[in-house]
Amino acid sequence: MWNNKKAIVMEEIIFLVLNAIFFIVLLVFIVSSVNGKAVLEQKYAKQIALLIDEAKPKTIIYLDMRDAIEKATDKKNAVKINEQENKVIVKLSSGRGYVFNYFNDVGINYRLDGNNLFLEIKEKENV
Amino acid sequence: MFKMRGKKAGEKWLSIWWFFVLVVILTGIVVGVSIFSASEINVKKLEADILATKVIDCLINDGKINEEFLKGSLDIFKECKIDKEIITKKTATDEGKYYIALEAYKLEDCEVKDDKQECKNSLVNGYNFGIGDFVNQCKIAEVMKEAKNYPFCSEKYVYVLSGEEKLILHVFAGSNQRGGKEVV
Repeated sequence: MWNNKKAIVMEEIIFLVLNAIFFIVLLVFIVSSVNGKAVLEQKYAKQIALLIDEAKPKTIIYLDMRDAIEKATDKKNAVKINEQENKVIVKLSSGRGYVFNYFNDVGINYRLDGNNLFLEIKEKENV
Repeated sequence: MFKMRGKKAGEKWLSIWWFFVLVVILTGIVVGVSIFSASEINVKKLEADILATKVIDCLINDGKINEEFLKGSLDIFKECKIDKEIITKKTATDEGKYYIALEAYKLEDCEVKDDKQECKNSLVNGYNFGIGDFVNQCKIAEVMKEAKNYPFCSEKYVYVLSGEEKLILHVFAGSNQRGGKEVV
């Protein structure tokens, strides 16, 4: 009698633990996917390119990228701007980065200042 | 269903069907979230709007249009600080990402029909760069619910002065830039 009750309690515990594991895994997956590096790479590459497109020379922009920089594998090289090819590259994990072009023909000084991206838009120097 | 030591409570919950349901839910949510994560943030309309506004800003000063533009001798890429290569670039794998077209009309050559500006006899020619088919593709994209491979466009009509004469400047810009992952 006592053994039977113990077995039922054990079954209930196993059931609850398995269900809890299932929902925790599901929640972790959803949160990590929605705030994932892939989404952030795309979001910031496009945002930076559009900011550059809209900016006029002598504009200075500080962009708060805390959520992305905190997740970056290589924090110092999370953002790169290729002036020759007019490309913004945001790379938060090792491997491939997200690339987006801008069309504004301007010169750009940029650096990551902690969690902020500093952008200085200037006249393009003629080569 | 399989029995666990003949206990009804256990039989009710610890069944293979319960976990089958969980797996189905899990698969559905994983597929849904994956589709969401892989979906594109569409900024084509915004980009086309910025391009059109940038051209208007540089061609008009205090309501007066740049006369060189009307003569047809203006290099809009140089004047508006727009990278010509990016706008007109076409490769074997890349059909081109942008289109920009400029026209100018006398005020009397334009009329509004069904809330739409219609003009004829453009005073300038040759100011169109990039993929001309964007004009048609954008019309299709506007009526389609799902048009992620189509360009989005921005069309603006601006009243301007050329000396004492009143003109209408028509700017049509389109973008089909999607961006993407690259080895860098």
